[in-house]
Amino acid sequence: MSKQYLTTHTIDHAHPTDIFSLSTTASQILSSSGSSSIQVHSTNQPDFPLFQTLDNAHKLGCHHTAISRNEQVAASVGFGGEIKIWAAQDDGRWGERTEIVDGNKAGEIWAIVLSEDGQYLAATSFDGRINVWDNLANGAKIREFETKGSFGMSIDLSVDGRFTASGHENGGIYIFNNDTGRLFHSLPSLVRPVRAVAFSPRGTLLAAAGDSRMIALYDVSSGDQVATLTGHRGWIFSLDWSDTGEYLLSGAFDGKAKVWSIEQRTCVATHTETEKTLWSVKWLPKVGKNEGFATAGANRSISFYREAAGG
Amino acid sequence: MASPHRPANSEVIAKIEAVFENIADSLLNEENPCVPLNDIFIPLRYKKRIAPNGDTPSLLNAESSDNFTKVSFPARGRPKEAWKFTVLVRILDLLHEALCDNVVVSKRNIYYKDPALFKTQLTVDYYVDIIAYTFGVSRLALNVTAAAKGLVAGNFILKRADGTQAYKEADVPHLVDDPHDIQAIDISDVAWILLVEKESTFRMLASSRLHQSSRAGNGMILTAKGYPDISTRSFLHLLSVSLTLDCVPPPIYALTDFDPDGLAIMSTYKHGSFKLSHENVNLNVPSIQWLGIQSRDGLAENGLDEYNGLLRLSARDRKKAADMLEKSEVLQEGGKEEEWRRELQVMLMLNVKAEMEILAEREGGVKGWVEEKLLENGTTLHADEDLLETHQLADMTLGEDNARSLHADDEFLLDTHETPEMSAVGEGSACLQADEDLLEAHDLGTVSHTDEGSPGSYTNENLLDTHQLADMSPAEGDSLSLEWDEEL
Repeated sequence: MSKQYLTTHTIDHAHPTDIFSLSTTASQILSSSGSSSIQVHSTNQPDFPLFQTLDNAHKLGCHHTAISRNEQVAASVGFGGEIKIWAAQDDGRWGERTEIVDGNKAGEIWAIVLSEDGQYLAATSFDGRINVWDNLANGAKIREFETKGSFGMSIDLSVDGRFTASGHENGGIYIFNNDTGRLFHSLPSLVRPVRAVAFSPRGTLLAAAGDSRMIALYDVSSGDQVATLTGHRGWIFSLDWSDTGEYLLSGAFDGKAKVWSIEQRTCVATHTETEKTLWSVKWLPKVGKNEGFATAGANRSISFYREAAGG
Repeated sequence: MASPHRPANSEVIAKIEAVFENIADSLLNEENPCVPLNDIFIPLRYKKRIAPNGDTPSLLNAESSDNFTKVSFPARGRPKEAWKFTVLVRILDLLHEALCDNVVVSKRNIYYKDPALFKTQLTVDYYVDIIAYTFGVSRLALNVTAAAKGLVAGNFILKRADGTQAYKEADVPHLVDDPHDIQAIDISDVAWILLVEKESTFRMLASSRLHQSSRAGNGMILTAKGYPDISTRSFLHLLSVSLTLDCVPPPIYALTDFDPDGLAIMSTYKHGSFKLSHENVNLNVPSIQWLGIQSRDGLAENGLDEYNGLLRLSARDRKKAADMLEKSEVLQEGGKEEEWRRELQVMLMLNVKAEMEILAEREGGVKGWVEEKLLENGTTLHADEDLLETHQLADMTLGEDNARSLHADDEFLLDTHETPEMSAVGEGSACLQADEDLLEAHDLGTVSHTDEGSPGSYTNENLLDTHQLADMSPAEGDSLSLEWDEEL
């Protein structure tokens, strides 16, 4: 059964150049791009007005952002390899809290994720390592996982904080047990770069995708691949699970965003604003019963979709 | 692509600075530095015959045939020795500048920095090679080329400062002439100029006669085989400058790999070194447009279907991209080349680069792709018939004055104040004297070039043959020369 999503709004020219990353809270969407500033738009008002600009956050541009589930902490990474930690203030604005440099070499730190309460930041690096910093200990590094040395392109943390998953350029996908600090699973390889990994909301499934142009679903406890979602014709750059875990959203090189039913293992909706690359796609909080999502990429705008009523 | 491996600039810079530090130390050790009791000196190492390039032994492996000597100053009673010292200091200073600015210069560029001091090109050639041997590095590591390394193919007529003309055969690639030797270039038959990063692609395009049989009209193709030397940049700058209101220079496009070095090479041609030194003003070609390879060219099909011809960025590539984003003025947010900034960021996002050979897989190959791009970029000629019509119309419009020519930029030719106006005609003894000096330098340059060529590789010999063939212009060249004289 297919689903209908309508384009409800587009923030045109949200950035002067490609938007590389979207992160959302219940009321805001943060977007980062090749420009030095991060934009914060309100999503709980009809025309999604600009709420705040984080000026000159990253001089060389910003390729990844993350927000903790409790919505109190955000993080961003620039092309120069520096990480900034932002704290939500009482009025909803973001203030810069700390910066992590950690002897980093230019551009080595890549994908990031924050723990549920924002205390921990995990990041991948060009040489394949996953580093974890403690934001409450003044940004001290507390852990380092090593893999086979292939560029760590994507990362995610399970909601309960027990597992970290990473995707690598050689197709490798790993799940680490954060309690023991050890490798939990080395999953069957996608062979091509893995540009997105995402845990399902209950942490039972892991989705992974990239240049293989298919989405692999793995059982987290056993490490087995349980499904393959095919249909994208271009490299896949972004994955996001809906809050209930019923649907998976994906964004690809050819500008197509797809919604997949996990139960049916099929694509139930495909949307395209332009044929330009979608670097990031994200679900939005439900309004009533209707689910919605946002997409952004090379066309420099943020597009918002919402499920048609009565679907 | 990256240049061939060579010692880091910093190592060679350190060697040069060590020479000057030793001199300073010697002076400081004197009770009265203004009147030193002992000479200061520069140590040199040499063989009876200069070793050929590429197989330069290091100082630690000094052979028994090596000789060591000191060039002293003030060397009372030996003025030639003092002159040698001054020459060495001047050359070392120029090499130091070239290395710090990461600019490639030719021996001829060095000569024209101070021709009154050096007297002949041979002096510069000799001491540059000795310095390289003393330091145990190749000449390339000093950022010096023996001659302009650029190659050019296309329909144009070149008038030299000594009055001779060269009608360049369109089919054959030629070494770029040193701009100091050029008085004017007739490019009236040229509709576009294409700058190609790689020699292999340049040769393929030249042999396919892109510049003569293209649907985009006749053109010129140029390459400096990677990062450009100053002579090739000067030559391109000369082509891009119009000194008369009725003459519009043809568009200039760049074809590079999709990688940080490709962008850095194009940036050198267009904007100069990252440090925009004063000299860049006379070398930059601000009108250059980037034909490709851009992300939409290299990736559009790969991103959707296959995975052919793409390469992963190395750690060095990623560092270079980040350095460029951070340090290059034109790549700053709001800078002149925001689109280039975006392309570097896309490379980093994808961790992918592509060589221009990726186009060979397409229908029509590299040549077909280039033609399409030239047509897209505003060259309106779509067929030979259109070309003929346009040509005839131009003839009618211009009447007898068919030839468009570019005269050498006087400022550009005059490296020093002492050099008289070369473009003046019948100015008198000063002009004649200058001509004689130039001719002598040219002859010496030719001899030096031949000597350096003989131990070189097959490619070098091939280039030499081509160059000599070009110099021996056929009868048509002579008749053209007569026509030029009449116009003058």
